[in-house]
Amino acid sequence: MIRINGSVHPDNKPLFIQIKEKIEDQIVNDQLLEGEQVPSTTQLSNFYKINHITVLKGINMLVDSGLIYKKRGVGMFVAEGAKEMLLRTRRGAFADDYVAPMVREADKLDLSTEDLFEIITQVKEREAHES
Amino acid sequence: MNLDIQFDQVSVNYGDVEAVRDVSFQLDGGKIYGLLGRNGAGKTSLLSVLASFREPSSGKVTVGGEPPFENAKIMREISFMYDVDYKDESDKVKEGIEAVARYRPRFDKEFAYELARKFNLPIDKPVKELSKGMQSAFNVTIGLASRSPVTIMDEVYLGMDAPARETFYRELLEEQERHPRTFILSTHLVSEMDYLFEEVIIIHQGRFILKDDYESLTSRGVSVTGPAPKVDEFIQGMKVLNVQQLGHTKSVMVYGELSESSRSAAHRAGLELGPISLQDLFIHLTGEGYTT
Amino acid sequence: MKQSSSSSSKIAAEMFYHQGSWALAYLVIVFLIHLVIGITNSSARQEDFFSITYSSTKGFMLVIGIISAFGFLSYYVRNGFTRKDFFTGAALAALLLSLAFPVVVGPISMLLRALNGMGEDSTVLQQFGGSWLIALASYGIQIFVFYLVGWMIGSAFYKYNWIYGLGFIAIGIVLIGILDVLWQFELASLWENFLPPVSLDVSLPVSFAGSAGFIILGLTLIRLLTRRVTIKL
Repeated sequence: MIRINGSVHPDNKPLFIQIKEKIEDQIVNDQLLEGEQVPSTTQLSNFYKINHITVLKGINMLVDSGLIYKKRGVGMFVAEGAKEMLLRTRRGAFADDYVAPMVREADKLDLSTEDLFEIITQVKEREAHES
Repeated sequence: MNLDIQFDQVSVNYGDVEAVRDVSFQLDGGKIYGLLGRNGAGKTSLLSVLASFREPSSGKVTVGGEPPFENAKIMREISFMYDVDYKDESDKVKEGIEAVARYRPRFDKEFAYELARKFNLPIDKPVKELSKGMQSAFNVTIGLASRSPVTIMDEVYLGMDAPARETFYRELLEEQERHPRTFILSTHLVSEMDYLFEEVIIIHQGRFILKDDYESLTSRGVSVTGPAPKVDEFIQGMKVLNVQQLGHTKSVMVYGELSESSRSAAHRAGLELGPISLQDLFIHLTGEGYTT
Repeated sequence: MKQSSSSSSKIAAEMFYHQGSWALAYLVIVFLIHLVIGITNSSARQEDFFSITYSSTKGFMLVIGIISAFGFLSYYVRNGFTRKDFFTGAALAALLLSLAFPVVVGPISMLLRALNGMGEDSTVLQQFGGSWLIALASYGIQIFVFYLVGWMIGSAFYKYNWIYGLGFIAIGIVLIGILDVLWQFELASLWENFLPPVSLDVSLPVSFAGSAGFIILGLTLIRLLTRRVTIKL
């Protein structure tokens, strides 16, 4: 989540990381398609009310990792293969970021691996039903 | 045209009152600067020296290496927008725009009328009959459309309502992208405007406190929250800006760079580190009891 | 410097346009008053148009001069002009205005006089031995000096507190008093009731030369007052 008018948002991640993740999310969700133009730093700055330099820092991380590229005098665009790259990275981090904390919590609650499987199956069914 | 600005030990006195004392700093051309200070901190006095409205009582200001005072070449490149008293200004908004278009070498008339439309400025109304907020919008319009390499906006938003201020900030950032120049925005509405600043200058009681870029400034302030004894232990030797305590939980704002090792030490000790906003930093650096 | 001279001519043109339109309005009012008095009061002996204008324009110019020190100075410096450009521009505008008054008032007065069938002659004109040229020249010079005196007093009030301002009013009164002596043919002076009558036999060349001296003195004082003046916010 990003702060909208001045108040510092509860997540303690630095703002430039949040901007970076925001754009990554949009690529993963197909809100920003490959080859499509990314909003300029000024537009992002105006939209999120986040400092221009902070936005630039986040954008530069995306450029460095090859997810977006700059065309001089034109703007920034989503690179070919950016979505695949992100999915790969996220799949790689999935175990650490989501499964490990879940397993730790499950241990605390005395849930067996079978219990976990059971819960996951149930949640998947419910989600499928809802959507 | 980029005109670097240098304040060199500038003081401004009004009789016995020292409004600005021995202030030195340099501003590179082409950036948006936030000049922060409480009421009476000396912001306007400092800026009126830059705008050649007055001479400094001592010290020196240079713009592009030259003193701006009575320097025609430099004065026409500096726009100083402030809360102008328009009670005798019977010219219409339109006439006002046309007049400044004759004076300022880089004025963009088309852009001025576009801004006037965005601010809903009645262009056929005399400036003196406009509301306070509309007069401010008029100043912003003139200030942005003049495209002066040095554009000073001294609390120029007075009386503007939230949507108008929003328009102002958006247009300012877009203008800076199209035609980069040096903007100096003096304000005490820090939390609302902080995302505009590339660099920040803070003055307090006429004295220079700091100048830094926005990122390093805000990353240098850290809030440390956790059990009181552990917090106390952690912050030893650090510059404390503010202390708050709720039961056994203590939250302290400290100012200064935190090394990676002390960050992980904090983490191990179960302390929570958080960013602090420019607003917090400003309040505590210029709060009661703070002296240089 | 080329830029500087074009800046001051820009100021001169604008100020002349502004002040000229005030002057026009003022002349229309004077003319209407003259007309109304002429109609309602035909039997009583009345001052002719030129005589009324000759003396009242001085007051008008004094006020315009004061205003120029306040409003216009701040306005032009705020818009990126130097004090020097303003000084040159405003002085030029005052000069133009002082030329424009005789140029406009002269023919109108002559016309009115012709229409009146020379019935009553102009009191002021008589002082100049019936010479329109000298009468109009003295008119232009004197209103210019009044403008300068107003501008000087205004500048002093702008720069200093009211005590200094009063001091400059005193200087202004003395200057105007001496000016009156130089052009002593003139009777309808603003100050004749307040100052002791001085009778010197001043010849015309001395009047012109003395006035020139005053103009230089006035301009110098104004420039000294405004050279580095702090602009009010």
